[in-house]
Amino acid sequence: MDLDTDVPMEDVSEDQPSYQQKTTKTTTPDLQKENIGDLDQWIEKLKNCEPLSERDVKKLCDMATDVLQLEENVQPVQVPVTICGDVHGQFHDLMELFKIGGPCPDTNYLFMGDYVDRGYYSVETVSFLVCMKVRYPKRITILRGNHESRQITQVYGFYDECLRKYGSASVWKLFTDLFDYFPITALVDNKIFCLHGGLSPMIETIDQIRELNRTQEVPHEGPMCDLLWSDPDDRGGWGISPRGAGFTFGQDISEQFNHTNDLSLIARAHQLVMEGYAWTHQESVVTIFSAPNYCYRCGNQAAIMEVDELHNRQFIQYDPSVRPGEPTVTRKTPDYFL
Amino acid sequence: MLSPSQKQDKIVRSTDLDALSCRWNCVQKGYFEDVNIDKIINSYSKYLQFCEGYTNLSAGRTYKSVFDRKLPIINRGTYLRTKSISDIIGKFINDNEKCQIVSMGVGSDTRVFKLINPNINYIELDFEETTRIKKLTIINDSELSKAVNYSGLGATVADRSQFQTLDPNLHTDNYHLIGLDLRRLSDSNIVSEFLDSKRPTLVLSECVLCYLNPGENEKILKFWTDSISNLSLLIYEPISLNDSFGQQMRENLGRRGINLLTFNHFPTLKSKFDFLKSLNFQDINVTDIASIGGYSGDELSWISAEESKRIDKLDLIDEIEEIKLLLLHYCLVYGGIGKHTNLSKKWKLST
Repeated sequence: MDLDTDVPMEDVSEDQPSYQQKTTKTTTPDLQKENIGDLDQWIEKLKNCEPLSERDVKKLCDMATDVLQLEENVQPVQVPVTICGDVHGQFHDLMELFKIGGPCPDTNYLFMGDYVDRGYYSVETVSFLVCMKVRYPKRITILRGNHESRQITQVYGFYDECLRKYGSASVWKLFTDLFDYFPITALVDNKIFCLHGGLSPMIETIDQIRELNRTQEVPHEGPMCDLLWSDPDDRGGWGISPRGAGFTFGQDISEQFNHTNDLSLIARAHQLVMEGYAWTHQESVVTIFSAPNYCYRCGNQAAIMEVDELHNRQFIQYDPSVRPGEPTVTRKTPDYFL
Repeated sequence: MLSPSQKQDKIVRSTDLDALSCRWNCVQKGYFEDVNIDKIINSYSKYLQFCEGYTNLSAGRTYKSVFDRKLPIINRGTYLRTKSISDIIGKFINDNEKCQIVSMGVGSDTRVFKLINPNINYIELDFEETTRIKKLTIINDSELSKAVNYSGLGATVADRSQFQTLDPNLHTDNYHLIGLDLRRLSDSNIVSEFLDSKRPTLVLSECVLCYLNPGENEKILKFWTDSISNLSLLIYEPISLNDSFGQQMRENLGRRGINLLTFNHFPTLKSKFDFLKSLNFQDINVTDIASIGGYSGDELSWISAEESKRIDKLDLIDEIEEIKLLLLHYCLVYGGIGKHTNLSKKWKLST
């Protein structure tokens, strides 16, 4: 894959998003030259699916904390942008995504969480995306998903993968500490509201999200939990989620939320959809899922959504990457009931 | 060196260790109890190395994989499979004062030790390698010996040749463990001899017939319909549904050398239903594990609200779409000929 990493930082920083509803003025810290050198080197290494050293992860997470803590709970994003759903450690498919969507930073990206767990390359995937975030902070936005959590990663693979690849939990600790700073939602040109899960009965306006204290472990309940866990449903109103966290919300809720906040669309991820994307609630909500053949088992397509300057939307679907030399044969077969 | 067919059989036998690992994980998590599972696992640690196609090293590696941690969806699916099958066996035993249970490809299953009583003639069939391990587990353990009413001696097996020459069968008054390739079921009297053709009989195939081709399936099932007048048949196995998940399952398992030989031949619940119909089964019921688990609506669920509440606490199932997709691809088929136990369960398709 040919990522254009030669774009000078000056070009990138020209593109300041318009902070229309801002309450506090923030600026992204400028990258030092040596940091750029480090980042470019790490990105090249990661492109070969080679994990960074623990020392480099520490440096990376320190840099990323500086960048992410200044972002907002509702991070403003400009068009054009390509919006992506769950990746779940499927590193080679993420490389395929950039091939299909266009290299970053030439193309702006917004990822809606769930970078880790389930796939075999959570470490490389999250390291790569965080590197890109620090290197091109205005070109890529990475939101928090429900798997960017200490609790979930201990059950679903990221913790075990860190232990396996680094021999200790310290890299897991560095990343899960960093996850606390990830923004939880984004607003594309004030019109498309993006988040991992869905709406919360405790949130009526986007301004209420701006009031939340997000720098914490994903709570078991409450508005921040709901934003990362909820799902749209065919039934109207609020419902109990079968996932045990968040809620289900009906078309009435989505339409009211979009109306109240003058939105055209809620874009979210979080649910496996076989075509890679799925409209619900009469096109007031779209689900985007970017992990093809999820868990190497589900046989689904993946998709990304491109939004251009005129807010035209286009979905691009793709299948799992087929890479000569990739060790699919030695890879452990996913579990079935035998 | 193993011949290709020996290698194939070894791979099929190895699926029992997957099932054992799944059950062990469920026991650890508290989904269900199994006081005998450690005895079987312990036997595998001793004797797997003497089985055809294993070395000391590969047996050790395989044995260790039994303790690999399983994801919540796998635990939940294992629980639903185990519980639904156990429910049916329990109901069958309750409904028939004297009955017979035949478990084909029984592997490391420990149900017999809990269920067997003097009114049940219990027959377990599997490859010789597998029955030898089970036999050694039983005869060297006083509680298991007592359970199956075995009063003979134990046995020490210290090397491959001792293992390979050990009689793979174990017979007591009402328990028959028989080492047999199911493809030869109708060729000999080895099973018929111990079969009571008059008793109401439940024949089980828990992920067994799926590794045999359609012709072999038919031959085996015809053996049972010909031998038993009051027959109940219970099959649990994967189905392809002719979709991309099924296709992926075929590819993934194929990469491990596991061929699902009826997978595309009987891809749906309806095709399973029709297959049993063609074999003259009168009462036929089919459903999938997603329905049993309540993932296709409460009306098809076999799990009580109280039980759901209990198991929801054991594991965090974070993705409903994925577990539903997985469990839709496993069916439960229950058919009967003659006097046959009605389960009063909810099915997706029934005669």
